[in-house]
Amino acid sequence: MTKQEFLTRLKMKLSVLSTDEITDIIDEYSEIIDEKINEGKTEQQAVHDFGNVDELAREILKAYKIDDQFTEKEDWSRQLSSILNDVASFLTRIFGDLFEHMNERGFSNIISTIITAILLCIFLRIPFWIIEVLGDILLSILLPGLLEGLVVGAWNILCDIGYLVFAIGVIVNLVKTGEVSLKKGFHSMKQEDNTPKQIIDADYTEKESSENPDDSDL
Amino acid sequence: MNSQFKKGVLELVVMIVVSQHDIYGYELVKQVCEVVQVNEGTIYPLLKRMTNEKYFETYLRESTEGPPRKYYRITPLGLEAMNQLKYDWLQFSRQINQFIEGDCDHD
Repeated sequence: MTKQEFLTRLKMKLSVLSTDEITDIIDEYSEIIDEKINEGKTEQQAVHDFGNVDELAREILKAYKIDDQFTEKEDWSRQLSSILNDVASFLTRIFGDLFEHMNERGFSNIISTIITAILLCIFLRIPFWIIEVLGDILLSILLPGLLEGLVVGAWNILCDIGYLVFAIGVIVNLVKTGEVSLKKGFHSMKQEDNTPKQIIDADYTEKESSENPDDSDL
Repeated sequence: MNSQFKKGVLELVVMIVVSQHDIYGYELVKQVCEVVQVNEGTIYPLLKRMTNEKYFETYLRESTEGPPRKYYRITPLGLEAMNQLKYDWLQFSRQINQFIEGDCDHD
């Protein structure tokens, strides 16, 4: 593994930490690798000394009392409440900042994120609606009268819940990646500089591509 | 060399090294490895943990050989923890040694 590959992977694994913390950690490791190279080791050797990257990241996170196993558990209620928490705190923060720093450009960033979220809600409903209807038809064919009514009712509720959870998850993801461009939007508002919109968009897409949820963890 | 022994005593060794003089990551790893052979990958997270628990504090010091280095320094809290750990270890190892010697006498 090269130095860059190592640092990139480590950075990704530590993404749950604050930016400052991540930078601090990555800088330190980068410096250590450089020193080892100075002393004559190859890049590969220097990186190899750290052992397995995933395990290293896990050990580092333990220092922050972060239970990395949490991300793998199928605990719906916990995940849902933490998602709702994220959305709520984000919205609170946004509207709080909004009233302090009303400004056209930053405002349009917020508006576009909100519009995207609404459009996503509408779009996502369609596949779930289709699945729901297909299920209804199937059940009405297979089941006798009274039972059909009950089961169809339950099925519909299930589909609605499924849609809700899915939509919330997608929006939170959007909100999280949008957070970066929004933050930059507020930053530029505070500094009142004329950062061209391109740079803000570039940050957005950069954050988007690096924000891949690590489903393959362990 | 049993890895469980090493794990148990690593914290103590790291703390003692830092308490002797302010030191930066890689230098510390080299010194610790002279005392007990461990994987580097276990030492750095340990440093991070001790710093988060306020046993160590860090600062940047300019270096002639490149970018500023992060140095570790033990805090009063850390010193207290270290002395306690040292005491615990001495007690513990003495008991074990006595037990083993007692066992040897019976052979």
